[in-house]
Amino acid sequence: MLRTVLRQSIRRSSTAGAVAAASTDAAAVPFPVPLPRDDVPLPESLFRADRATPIESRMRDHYDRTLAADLLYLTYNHKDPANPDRLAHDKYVPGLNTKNTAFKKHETPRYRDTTMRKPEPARTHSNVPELSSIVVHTFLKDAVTNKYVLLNALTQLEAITGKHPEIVRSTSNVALWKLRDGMPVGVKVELQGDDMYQFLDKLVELVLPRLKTWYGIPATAGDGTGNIKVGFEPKSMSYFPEIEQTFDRYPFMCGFDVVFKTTAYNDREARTLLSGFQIPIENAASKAKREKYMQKSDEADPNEPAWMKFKRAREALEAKKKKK
Amino acid sequence: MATAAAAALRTATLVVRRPLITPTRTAFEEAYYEYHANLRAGHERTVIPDFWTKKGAAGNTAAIQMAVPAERTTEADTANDVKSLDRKLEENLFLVVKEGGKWSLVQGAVAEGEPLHEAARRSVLDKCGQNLDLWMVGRSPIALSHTTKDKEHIFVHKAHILAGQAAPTKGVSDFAWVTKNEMAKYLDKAAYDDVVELL
Repeated sequence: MLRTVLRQSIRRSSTAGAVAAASTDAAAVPFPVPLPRDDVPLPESLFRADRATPIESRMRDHYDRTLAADLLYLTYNHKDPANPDRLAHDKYVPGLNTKNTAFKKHETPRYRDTTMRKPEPARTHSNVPELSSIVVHTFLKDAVTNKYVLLNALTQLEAITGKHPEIVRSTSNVALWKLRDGMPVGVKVELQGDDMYQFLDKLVELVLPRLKTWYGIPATAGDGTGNIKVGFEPKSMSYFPEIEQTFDRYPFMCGFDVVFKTTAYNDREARTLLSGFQIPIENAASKAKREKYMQKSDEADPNEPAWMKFKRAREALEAKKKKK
Repeated sequence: MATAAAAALRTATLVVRRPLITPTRTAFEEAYYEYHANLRAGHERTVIPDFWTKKGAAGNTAAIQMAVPAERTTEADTANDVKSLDRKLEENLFLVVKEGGKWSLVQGAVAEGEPLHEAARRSVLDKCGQNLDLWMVGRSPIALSHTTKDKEHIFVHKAHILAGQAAPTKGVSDFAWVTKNEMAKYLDKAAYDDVVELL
């Protein structure tokens, strides 16, 4: 169908020198001429397994049409970037205002050499924070003793992402864990473009709502440069539709991490971006509100058995000790 | 603080209902996605059905009931009901109100010491009823109106409507949810030029 459309467009245009003609004797034949392309298959090299496949993606449409504009408004710096008197929480200078109590510990960048960081770029319509890639990663401790557990992880990650994963090898030697350098211990796959948005859609619509004890990304999450990692327990793997259908075929479920790599400059912008994709962010206030709503009552039930009373008392005592 | 001689602060709110469905694909786009889907299908790893389904397992080869998507145009589209929020699902709908015979964005005055974004939100609820679930896009205004008189500064804020519907109260005689292209029919030239870049 594309070929038909392309052929028609070729016919309509009078000057089409840029169109690559398959025929070798183009000089003899007047242009434009309907080329017999239907019997010649398109070259195999046009398929790139390492690149994201263009696919209709509603998350991408949502970002392009709604999120990008809102993010521009939400992350715009209304003060002059050259002005040193900028918003306090956006500017952390190591060695200069480390003692400033306005910077909470979680707002400081995580990696060491912050002097090597590029200065924060001025926010414009063309550098709005965007999701650049998602890395789904599994680390399997048992792979040290049994390499074949990686096969299970490979199959699962391929099923949920649609891309063939790669093996992650250890880079350190730890004798206690029988770990040697170069030993395959993990599996990861990096998703970009429309594949990434498809995975994100599945995660947000199908997996996250079914998690019983996960209520959101913590408000302190982030590596300081706009990348956020979320860990999932093995049970979450079974919530993906691809795994759910063929649950029996897998010996065990793997826990996995999902790393959201963004073009955001800091954690705050990255969290804003993710919340735009309907991933909840939980801070202390929302957690308190949630717990109040769920009403964790500590009142003792008069009919509860003696062992429960004893257990409750013991737990309270241990909590008190821990506080001290 | 604003004295009698200083300019008065006003807010205007661009209330938007975001698109609810994906945009209509052009013929070329459809061909493009179809081509890539075929290319992907041709290079896919083959699935061995016997590995994934047990022998004699019933129902796996039966036709799966796929969900039938709803119509892209609604009753509001055919009736061209400009007050409905179900119209033009693939486009942004912006709220315009008729105050004193003139169509404009929802405007309101800022009370003494009131933050701008709160004033913007309050003015929409006051003028269009309390049955609106709004989400203000941040606290900063998105524009400063250029059609101000000497003694007035009008800051424009953006808000999303998440639920509810406008119910005009006294002062507001009419309202409509219009698309970017329809806005010019409602606003006069000066007001439209002021706002067109925000849509």
